[in-house]
Amino acid sequence: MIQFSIRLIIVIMASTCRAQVTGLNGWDIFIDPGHSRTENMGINGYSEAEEALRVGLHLKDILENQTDIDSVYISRTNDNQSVSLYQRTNYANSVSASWYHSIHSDASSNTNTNKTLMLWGELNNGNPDPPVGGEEMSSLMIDILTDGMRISTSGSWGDCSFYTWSDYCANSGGPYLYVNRNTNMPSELSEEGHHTNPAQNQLIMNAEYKRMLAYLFYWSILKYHEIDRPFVGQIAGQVYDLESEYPINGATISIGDFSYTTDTFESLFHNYSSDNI
Amino acid sequence: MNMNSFFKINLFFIVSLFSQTNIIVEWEEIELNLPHLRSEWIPNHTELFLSNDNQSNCFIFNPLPGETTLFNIPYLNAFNAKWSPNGKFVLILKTKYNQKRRMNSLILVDQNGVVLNTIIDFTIKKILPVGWSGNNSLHYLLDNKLKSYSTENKNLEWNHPIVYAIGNTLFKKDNPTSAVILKQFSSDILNLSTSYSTNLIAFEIYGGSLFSFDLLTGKYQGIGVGNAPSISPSGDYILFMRLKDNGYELTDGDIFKWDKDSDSISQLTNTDDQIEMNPSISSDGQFISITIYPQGELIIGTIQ
Repeated sequence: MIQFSIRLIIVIMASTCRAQVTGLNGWDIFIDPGHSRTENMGINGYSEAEEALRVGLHLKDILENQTDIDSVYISRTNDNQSVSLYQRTNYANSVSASWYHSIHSDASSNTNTNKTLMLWGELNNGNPDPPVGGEEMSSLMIDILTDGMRISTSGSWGDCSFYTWSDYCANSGGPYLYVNRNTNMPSELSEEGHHTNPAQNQLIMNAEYKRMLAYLFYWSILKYHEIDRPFVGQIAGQVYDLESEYPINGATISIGDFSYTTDTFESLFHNYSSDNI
Repeated sequence: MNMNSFFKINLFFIVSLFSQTNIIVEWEEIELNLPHLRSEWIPNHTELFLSNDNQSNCFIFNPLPGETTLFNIPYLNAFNAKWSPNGKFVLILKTKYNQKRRMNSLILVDQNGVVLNTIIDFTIKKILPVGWSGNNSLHYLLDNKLKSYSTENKNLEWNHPIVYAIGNTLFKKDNPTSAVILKQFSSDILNLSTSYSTNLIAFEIYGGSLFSFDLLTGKYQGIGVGNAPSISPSGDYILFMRLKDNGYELTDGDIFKWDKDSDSISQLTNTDDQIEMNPSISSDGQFISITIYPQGELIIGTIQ
C-alpha cells in the first residue's frame, strides 16, 4: 500500500459559484504574455513563452467572464505568433489601454532557485515612472503571488533599483524594462517562479496550475481596485509518496462529488521530456 | 513661447551610417538630453516635433539654430499626435488617472506650445487623433467612432482625404458623406502613415508585416517585416525600422528603405553598437530624421 500525503499549495477558485464581480467597469487591461513561441526553454522542456501565453489567456478568460471589465487586450493568442517588444507596447498605446501587465517566469543558473519577483517602472532618480500605479499594483501582487505559489520571493522592485549591475538607467533616465518605459499607462512585469527549477518547470506544464496563477493575478487586480474577492471553493495541491518524496503519477483525489486525477508521464510530461521518473 | 536651451548639441558631424541604397544621405548627429526620443518632421516646416512614447513633455526643435520650444502642458500624451497640413496646429492627447480610471482629453495646440482649444475634456472614453482634411478641419476617433471638428466653426474642408483604421479595417473619407472601407486585414492595423502630398499610405499589421496602399488605384503591397513606416512626400519610397529584442530590452535596430517602383528594400543604416529607430521624412523631401535608442540622440540626414 502506498502511503501518501497531499501537500496543499493553495486553496483556490470558486468553480461552483461564479458570481459576476462588479467594480471594474470603466477599466481595461492589456495582458502581455512575455516572449514568443517556445522562447526561454525551461529545464524540463516547457518554455517560459508557452507558460506565459496560457496564464495570460486564462486571466483574459477570467476577467471577461467573471467581471464587468470594459475590455481585455492581449499581445499573443497562440504559440505561432512572434511579437516584438515594440509591437506589444505600441499596440497597448494604440488602444489606449488603462493598464499593462507583462507575464514572465524567471531563469537562473542555480536550478534550486525558485522565486517570485515584481518589477515596476522606475526612473533613475528613484521616482515611479508616470503615470504611476505599477508600484502599488506590484506591492499587492507580490504577496498574493508568493502566498499562492508557496515559494520564496525576491520582492517588488522598481526596475532601476533592481538592475543595479547595469548603467542603463543612468544613461537613459529609466525605467529599465522596455515594457515599463514605452507604455503610456501604468505597468508592471511579474516573474512567477523559475522555469530553470525542475519542480517548478514541471508544475507549470499543468493546465490547472496555470489557471491558478491567473487567479492570483486576478485577485491582485481585485485588491488593487478594493473589490472583495469572491467565494473560493476549489482545492489544489500535489500528491507525494511519503517514502520517496516523489509526486505520485495518476493519483485520483475525490472530494464530495468532484474528483481529479493528477498528471502522468503518459498523459502530459511525455510532451516535454523523455525522463519518465 | 517658451524657448528652452537645455538641449545639448555636442556633436554635429557626418557619420557613415549609410550604405547600399540609391539615395545619398549626409548624416549629422545631434546629442540631445531626451531619452527614448521619437521625432517627426512638422508638415511644411524644417522643424522637428520631439516626443516620447512615455507620458512626457514635447518639444519643437529647429536644427539650424538648435532652438527648442517646450510644450509645458500637464498630462500631455503625444502618442499619435497629428499636425495640420500647414504645420501650425497639432491635435494632441492628454491622459490622467482619476479614481483608478484612465481619463483622456483632446486638445488643439499651436506651434508655440499654446493650448488653443480643448476639443474633448477629460472623459473615460477612448480618444485617438486621426488627422486633418484641411487646415481648419480635424478628425478623431471617440470610442472608435469618427468625429470631425472645424477649428474656425465653419464647414469642414476636404482638401486631403483622411485615412484611418478601426481594428483590422481600413477606412477612407474624403467628403462629408460616409466613409468607405478600403480593406480588411486579419489583424489590427497600426502605425498608419500618411502624407499630405501623396496618395500612397503605409501601415503595419499587428504581429506581421508592413503594407503600402495606393488610395487612387486601391493596390496594396506587402513590404515585409518592419515597423513605424514613414512615407516620402513624393510617395516613391518608404522608410521603416527593423528591431530585435531579447524579450526585455531592444538589442538592435536599423533603418530600411522600400522603393515603390522596384519593390526592393535597401538598408539605410547598419550599425552594431547603436539602435536606430523611428525614421521620419520632411515634407520637402530634403531631410530624414532618425533617433538613437535609448540615449535620445537625433540623427538628421540631408538627402543629396
